[in-house]
Amino acid sequence: MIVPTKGIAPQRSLLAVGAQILQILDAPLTVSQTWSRLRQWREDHGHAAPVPFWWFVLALDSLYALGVVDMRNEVLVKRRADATAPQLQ
Amino acid sequence: MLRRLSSNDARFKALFFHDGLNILVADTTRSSTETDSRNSAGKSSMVELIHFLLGGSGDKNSLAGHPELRATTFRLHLDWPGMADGVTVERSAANPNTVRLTPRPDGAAPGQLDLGTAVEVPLDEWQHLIEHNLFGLPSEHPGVSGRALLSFLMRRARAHAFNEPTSTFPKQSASEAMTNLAYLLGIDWKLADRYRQLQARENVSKQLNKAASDPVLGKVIGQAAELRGQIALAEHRVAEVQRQIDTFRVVPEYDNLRDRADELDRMIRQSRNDDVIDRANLADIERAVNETTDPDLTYLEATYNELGIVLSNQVRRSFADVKAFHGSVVRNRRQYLAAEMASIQDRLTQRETERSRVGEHLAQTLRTLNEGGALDALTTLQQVLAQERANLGGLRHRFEAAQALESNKLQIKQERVVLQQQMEADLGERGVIIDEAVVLFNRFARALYGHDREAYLRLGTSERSLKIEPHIASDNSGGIGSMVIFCFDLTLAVLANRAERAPDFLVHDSHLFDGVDERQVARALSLANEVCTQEHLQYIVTLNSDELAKVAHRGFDPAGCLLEQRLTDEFEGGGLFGFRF
Repeated sequence: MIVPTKGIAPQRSLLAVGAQILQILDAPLTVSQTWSRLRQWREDHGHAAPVPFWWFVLALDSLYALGVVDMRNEVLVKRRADATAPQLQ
Repeated sequence: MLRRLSSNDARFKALFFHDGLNILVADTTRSSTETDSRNSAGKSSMVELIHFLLGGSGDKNSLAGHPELRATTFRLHLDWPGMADGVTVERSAANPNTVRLTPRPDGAAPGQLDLGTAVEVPLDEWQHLIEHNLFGLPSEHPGVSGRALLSFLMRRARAHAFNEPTSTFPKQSASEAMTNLAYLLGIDWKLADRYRQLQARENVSKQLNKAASDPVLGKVIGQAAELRGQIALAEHRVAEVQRQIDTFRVVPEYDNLRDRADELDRMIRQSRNDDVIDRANLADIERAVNETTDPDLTYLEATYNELGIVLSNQVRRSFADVKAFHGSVVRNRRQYLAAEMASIQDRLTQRETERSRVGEHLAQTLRTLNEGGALDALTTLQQVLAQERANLGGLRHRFEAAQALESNKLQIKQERVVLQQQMEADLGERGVIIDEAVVLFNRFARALYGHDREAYLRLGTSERSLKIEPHIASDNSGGIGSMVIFCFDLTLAVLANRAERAPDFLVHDSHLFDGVDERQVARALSLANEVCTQEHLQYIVTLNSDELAKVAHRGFDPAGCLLEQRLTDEFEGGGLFGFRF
């Protein structure tokens, strides 16, 4: 799920969707604004595979687990991973 | 001449008449009291009975139809042309539609119930014999009838015949009375009868006019102007239907063609539905194909790296593997989808071609259907045409009738004018005959009233009838009016008898002399006696004995004129019938 599998296309893997979220999260954004911009971005870049909202939430969860997004005052913010948690490597 | 009036009832006082003047006297008896009366002694009944025997009505309103007399058979013996011993007629109100004649007169159909010397004939046959033999009427004689003629020779008090000299009952139409009088006087009665016919036509016309203005009956006849409009409409409808029939083309197998057209239409719609489904499939496939194109993923690593996350080789390999895997799947899938798309597109094209072919076929079928109709449609049209034509014919007939009705009034008026001119001319040409009547009447009137009183018989015409006006100057005196009738009847009897247009008898009831001065009664009886002798006439009159005494006192000699049989005022057996009822 996080990485692509046979059943999950690379463009739908949580890691890929997470990267897409990170791309658009260049400034603090609300969740709904992030969701709407994500859909726009995927459309713009020809990602046709369906991504429902709950999948988007899962992607956000995994990003949070990686320590690269945080929620401050109900607004999503991007941060470096080494600032809070140990590196995955 | 009338000879004998009798009955099968022994109590009936048989009357024997003789030539000339016959006076039937109603007497008083020595035992008479002040309350006895000679009224209803049977004077008027005698006239009624003679009428009954000469073909008058025998219904229950007539004297002979009285319950007490119904069973009685009455008998009249009278002179008959060509029969030396005359004829006896018998009739009873119990069987009013048949009379028995003894012997059988010439002209009576031999096929009738022949009883040796006697014969039973139906009443209308008897009336016909009277008209033919006694009055000399031809077989066709519209407007003149033996019964009407007899009513002038034997006026009936019951029918109020003594009101007017020129009618025998109060409601008799002038044109009818005048036709019969014209016959007796020897004037062209056929011309006079045309007045009656015009009158009848006018009456019918009036009734119809009245009906035409009635809201319900008016619809049957209608007004000419209204009908003219309706006819124009009906003609238009007939022409319209006719035109439809002329241009109508019968399409063979109409119903099958129509079914075929429906079928084609359904096919086209089905094909369109199939197209919709196929197109949706096609779109789905196209989208599926697009989905399998994998966009570039190079941004992934850079993005995470930027946030200090380094994707492990494992992760990298996973992406690469899956990409390779997907690549192979997608290739296969593409091939499959492309084949699917091709086949769908093929189907769509095929259907398109099929549709245009079917559409062409449908258009042709519809054109055929549009140009004509089925055979039963033509039959229906022809039925409608027949109905409309019948309607038109009916309207035309009604129009003619309405037109005739509207012009009838004018026509009758014109015919009246022409008739009056003809009648006037006819009277002018018959001057000798008319003079004879005028002179005779004047002579009779002078015999009664002397030279001082103006007296004339005027024959003229009017728009509505022949006019016969006997007149003796008076101050509306009832008595003088009666004597006008006496003189007029005597004139009629003499003239008709001279020309053999009527039998030789005249009967008057004593009612005629009511209110007449006894001097005039005496003179009238003397005159009648004298005229009867001269003209071989029979004059039968009824009188009360005291009246007879007065006229005898005034110089009339009744010797040889009185009937042997006298009626009396004796309550039970004095009357004509010998009993009271």
